Amino acid sequence: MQSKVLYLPFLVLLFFFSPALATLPFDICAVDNPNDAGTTLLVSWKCKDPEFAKIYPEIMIQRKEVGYKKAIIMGCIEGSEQMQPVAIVKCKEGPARFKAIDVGPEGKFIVLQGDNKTIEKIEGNNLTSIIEKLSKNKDLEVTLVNRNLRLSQNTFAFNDYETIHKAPSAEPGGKEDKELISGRNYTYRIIALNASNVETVDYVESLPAQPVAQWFNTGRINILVGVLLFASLIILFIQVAKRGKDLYIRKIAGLSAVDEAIGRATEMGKPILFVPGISGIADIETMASMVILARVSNKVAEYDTPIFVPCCDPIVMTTAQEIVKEGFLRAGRPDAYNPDYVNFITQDQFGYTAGVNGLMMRERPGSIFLLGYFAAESLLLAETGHETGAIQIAGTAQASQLPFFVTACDYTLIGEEFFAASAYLSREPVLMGTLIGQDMGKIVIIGLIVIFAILSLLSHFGVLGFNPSVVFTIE
Amino acid sequence: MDIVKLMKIDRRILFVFIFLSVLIPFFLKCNIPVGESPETEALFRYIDNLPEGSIILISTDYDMASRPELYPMAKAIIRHAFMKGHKIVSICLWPNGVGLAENSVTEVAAKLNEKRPEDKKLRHGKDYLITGYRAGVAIVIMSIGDSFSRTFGTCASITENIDGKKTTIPSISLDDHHRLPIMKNIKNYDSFKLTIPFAAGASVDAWIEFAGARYHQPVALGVTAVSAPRYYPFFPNQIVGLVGGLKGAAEYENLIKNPDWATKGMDAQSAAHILIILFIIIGNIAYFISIKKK
Amino acid sequence: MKTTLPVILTFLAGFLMLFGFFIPHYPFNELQSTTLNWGMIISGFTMILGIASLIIHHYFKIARKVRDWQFSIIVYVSYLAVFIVGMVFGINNGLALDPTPTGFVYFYVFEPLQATMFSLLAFYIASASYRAFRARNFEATLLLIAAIIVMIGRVPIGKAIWIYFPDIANWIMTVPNAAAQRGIILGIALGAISMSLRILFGIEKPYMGSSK
Repeated sequence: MQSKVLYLPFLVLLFFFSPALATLPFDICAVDNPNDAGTTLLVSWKCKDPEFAKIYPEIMIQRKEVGYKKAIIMGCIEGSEQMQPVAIVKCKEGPARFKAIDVGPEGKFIVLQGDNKTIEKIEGNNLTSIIEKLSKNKDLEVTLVNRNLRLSQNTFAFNDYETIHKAPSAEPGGKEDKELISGRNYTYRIIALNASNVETVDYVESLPAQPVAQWFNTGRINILVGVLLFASLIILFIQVAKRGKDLYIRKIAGLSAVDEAIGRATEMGKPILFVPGISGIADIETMASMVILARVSNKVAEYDTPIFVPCCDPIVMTTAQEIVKEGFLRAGRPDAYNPDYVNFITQDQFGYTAGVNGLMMRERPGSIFLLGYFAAESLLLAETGHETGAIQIAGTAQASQLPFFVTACDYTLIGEEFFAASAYLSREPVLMGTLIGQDMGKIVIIGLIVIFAILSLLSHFGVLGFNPSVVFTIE
Repeated sequence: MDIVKLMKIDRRILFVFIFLSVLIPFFLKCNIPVGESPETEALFRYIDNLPEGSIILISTDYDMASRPELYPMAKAIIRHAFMKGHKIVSICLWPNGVGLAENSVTEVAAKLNEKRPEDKKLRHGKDYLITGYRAGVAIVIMSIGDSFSRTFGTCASITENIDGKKTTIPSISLDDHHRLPIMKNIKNYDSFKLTIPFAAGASVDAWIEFAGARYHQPVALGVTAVSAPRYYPFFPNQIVGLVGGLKGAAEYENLIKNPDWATKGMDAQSAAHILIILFIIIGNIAYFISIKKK
Repeated sequence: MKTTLPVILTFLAGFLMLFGFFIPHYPFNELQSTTLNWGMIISGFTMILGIASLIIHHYFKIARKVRDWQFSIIVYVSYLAVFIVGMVFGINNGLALDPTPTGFVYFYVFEPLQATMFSLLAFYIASASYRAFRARNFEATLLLIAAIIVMIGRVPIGKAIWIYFPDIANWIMTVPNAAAQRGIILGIALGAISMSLRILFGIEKPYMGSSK
């Protein structure tokens, strides 16, 4: 809604410089939509005579593609005579002028006529083959609308203008006309309808407008600024960390307990269970989970502790297999890796839960890691894990599942703590830098929240003449 | 009995109590008045104030596991929409929810049709449309913004109860406006006055982000009680209503004055909540006594 | 080369997607949906990997007669049964009133099994809250009181006990809960962006089986 408000000044200017070909008391204009792929135009109109609007209460907005003629091949469904478009055929106006498409007697052939000559004559009533043949003619543009219809006799429609919108005539209005072809010219006209739906003969037409594809969406400049600011903060603090400045990270109990949990399972001679959640590898939470799995698998390889990684997604399974295998390789014990450690259970949420719970009850692991994306199964897993007496570390970015993990697990990584795992565990300056940069970003956001809360209040009480939240509007 | 021992009570004993607290109220029928929350009422008012004949898009993004919570909610809202003369388009983004997407609409329509004359009966293609499942969640949600008929192509093959006979209606192209007259007025989000995803998973975020923010479509949510707290921050600016869990469904049934399964479930939920509160209190008493003893 | 190429690919793919968000011009405008479509097609094929893993894993369990190997036979039997029913009878039309054999499996096997798993939640919530909700300190007590008010206020009996319970519960949900949720969501979003940047710049490579 906001975006349309932004275009209003353009439209007003256009009214001023381009009076339409007026015979009805309307202003109509079309302009390019400034932030799109060149497929939409913004059409707006206004009635100049309220008395006219009383007699003609409704208007139709119609579109024409300048320089092109359009024919619609019509058809109908078996057992019905109601016509519907089968395909749209467009042809350039010019030397080979496009006149008509016709279906011969009993729908046996289609003839496409140019100036005194036949451009295309296709026999048969197989719709698909007719459309295919038409498509091969380079002078034509063929768009198939519905292949489930059959052709019928004398069923072509031929039009220059097509109605795209109906609106009450008294109010000024606007319409975003979509699915146009970039670089072509379009004109729009208004025809008025009286109370008995009778159309006026006169019309008013806009000047041609052309949808043009843009190379930058200015409606998203606020996001670009945000991304650049955030990325530069992170890069800045990576540089600071590289220079050897000591960066402080508060203690995160859940992450400090990772080694303890592995050690405890080893001492008890029990396996470790690592559950990477129910989402796919494209999920950032699964990625974060894999980072911790790398650390855990390295340790279990050192200690020679069995690890089970049941997966809900085949790609996660393959990635986890690689990670665990490499963990054993890095620990210098590739022979100790067992392919059964990582396996696929099912993609079904509760089937997976049942499978993992079964594994917990049978294997009685010493430590359980529940790290990744979790939904309703979070408590089912965590409670069963608690029942086995294992030490449990959970982590997810799903705010609604955090209370369940906090209740049933020994340690819970809350949202961003979970994403901080790699930096926290490795203490590498580059990774630490990203964490500090992230915190600085948060300070900036807190500042913005405070400033804009005050501005919104001022706007609410009429001190400011505009709504400050416009700054955050995204197109 | 030593109350401190209660702290380590076998959890299966708690399970038995919970089981009984859910089971017994179903036979007692206490019928405590349900009331309504502002979020549920907001959706009710929104549907109530839509002009007659408005088309509402509903999406079934859940499966059997969340059926007890979301199905009664969907039925109550669909019933309300039909009673107000609106039309329903039902889509499904979870493969295991296809049957629910169909049943929720056809069951309500069949029930309402019992009391309607022949010409006012609700019919597939005219008063409601069921498209079936499409894969891709976020892609589907975005794609509807361009073209609804191109996104789904055909409607689902469904079974309707016509004149007391089960009649299977085959899958029809959405471009066949003769047999699916409802499609005459459906192009993209502009054609829908409201979108309501009934969702048990993450699709809700995509509905708010794409249908709501990008295509300026009014969105209301029907979600499970577990995930409802997550969506309170979106009300009332980004979503027009929020119906959460079985309680939300019961509130809606109460608003449309048609108590059904959700209302029946409220007594059981009341009993279970009270029992859990009692457990917590007993657990805390035992905890304090154990501290004193130490 | 083994590590450089994937990092370059990740960097290029990531930045192309990012550009696609800001550049509406073809071909950038279609990058996201094209990539998502590729992802969907690839994920269809990866199911083969998953099924192969499942079959091999259970085959070895049976062959080696490891502990509880009998369960693996159940996996095979149920997998084949559903597969055969689906292949022979197909996905039926009109599930609602006239279920075919596939519909029968859906309604009378799949539904009760799923519902059973989900309904366990009610029991587990009871045992977890009994164990965990202790007034150990000030914060825990506050949490405990809030939880009790919300639990009472969210069911009809709450209103019957005291008329203001639902209002207080609603206030807790819409004010303190919403505020905390917003804070957590913001933190999570920033953490996710930071993680994404680390992956884009090749600082972290979890997709390659290594965190470094």
